[in-house]
Amino acid sequence: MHDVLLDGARFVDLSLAGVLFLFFVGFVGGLVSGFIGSGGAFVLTPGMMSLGVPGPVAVASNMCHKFPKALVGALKRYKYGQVDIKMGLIVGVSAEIGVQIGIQVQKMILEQWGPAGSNLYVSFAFVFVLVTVGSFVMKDAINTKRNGGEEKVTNLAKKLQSIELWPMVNFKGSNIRISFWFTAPVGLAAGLLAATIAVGGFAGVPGMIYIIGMSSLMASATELVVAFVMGLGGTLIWAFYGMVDIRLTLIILAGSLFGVQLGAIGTTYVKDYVIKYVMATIMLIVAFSRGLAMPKYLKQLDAINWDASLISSMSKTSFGLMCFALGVGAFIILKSMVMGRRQERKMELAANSNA
Amino acid sequence: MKTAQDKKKKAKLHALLFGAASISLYAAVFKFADPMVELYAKGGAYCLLPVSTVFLFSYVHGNFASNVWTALGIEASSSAGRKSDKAEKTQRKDTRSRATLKA
Repeated sequence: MHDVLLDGARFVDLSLAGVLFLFFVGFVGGLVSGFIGSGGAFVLTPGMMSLGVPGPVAVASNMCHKFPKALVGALKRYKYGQVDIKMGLIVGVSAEIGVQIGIQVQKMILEQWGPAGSNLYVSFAFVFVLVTVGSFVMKDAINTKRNGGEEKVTNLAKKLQSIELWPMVNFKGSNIRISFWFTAPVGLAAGLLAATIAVGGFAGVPGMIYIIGMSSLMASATELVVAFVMGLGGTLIWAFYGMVDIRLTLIILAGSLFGVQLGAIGTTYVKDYVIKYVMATIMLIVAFSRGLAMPKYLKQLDAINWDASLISSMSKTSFGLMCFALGVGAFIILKSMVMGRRQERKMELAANSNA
Repeated sequence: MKTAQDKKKKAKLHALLFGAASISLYAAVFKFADPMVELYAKGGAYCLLPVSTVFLFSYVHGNFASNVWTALGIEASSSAGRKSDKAEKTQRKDTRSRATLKA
């Protein structure tokens, strides 16, 4: 980080195309975040780096846009009665601790195996976590749809809620009473993942659904509070080292504040399982995309000897697939929203004609 | 009682006001981009500058975006909030153990 601090050229010149790209990705990322509670960061950070922004500045500027976006999204969804603030704060504070542990793990790997080893670890974590959790969430979404679309609390969550382990916490927002010791690990896992792959919500939202017992709607909205807490803490640290490029942050924010509110509105037109569908679809495509990026790091570690042009095209395809994942998520959200609105209007017209 | 048209009209007015404020803020940032980026990158106690700036922008630009969607007729479903009302009315089964007296 110190090298980057000393480098006067850490803040790049922005072209109009670059500004429009960041605004658009900010909008789509915001749309997905407003709907599933997280997402967007995995495209924004490499996207900024492709414009020539150094890694730490890209991460810092992205994080600085994340917490105000999460705040606006959380406020919007709070109006719809979907946010459990107390849960968000508890999971958020635990996630902050998880982030610190994750950073130490990253440092250890970096010292042991260098940048290529660290990148390989990040890619491996991406693939392993996203394939495991994404497949589980997808399977559950399909089953819920088949069973009429009504979500059921998992047996694990019911069991954990019945265990009386001090201190028990009452969450009025989500109508759950559960021990603090079962909520904190969800936050820790989200923080660990956030420090590793920058998207903690891929652990936080499924954790709140399957371990704590919240509905998808409540969990995805509460994740915005978690993202706010984590984002604010992270931004203060990055800004302390002078890593935030405020221009990049404000351009992304301009698009994402439109997107996050549209995504939040979208949640009022869909059944809970659609949130799981969108999340699982994005997770599985992103996992595949990161899998394609792994040979590059394996070659840097001399573990494989593949053709350089093949590895280069695999890396490019990997970034393209990440953008595709975000696009697919946005498409499902917009399509579900349009269909939901159309259905509601039909019902209103039918009710008016009956009256 | 407010009609949908009144609501849209009010949203249009607010969108114009917040839009003008948002454009002014963005214009100011990009006019003074270089000194601003330098100042914000000083680090230390200056870390509060980017944080307070994004709070200001999220209020102004966030209100602008919200009113634009309302003015365009893109609003939450009329059933929004009902799901949570239903959840609140459903009483959770109390699983806490109680001390009992055998007499």
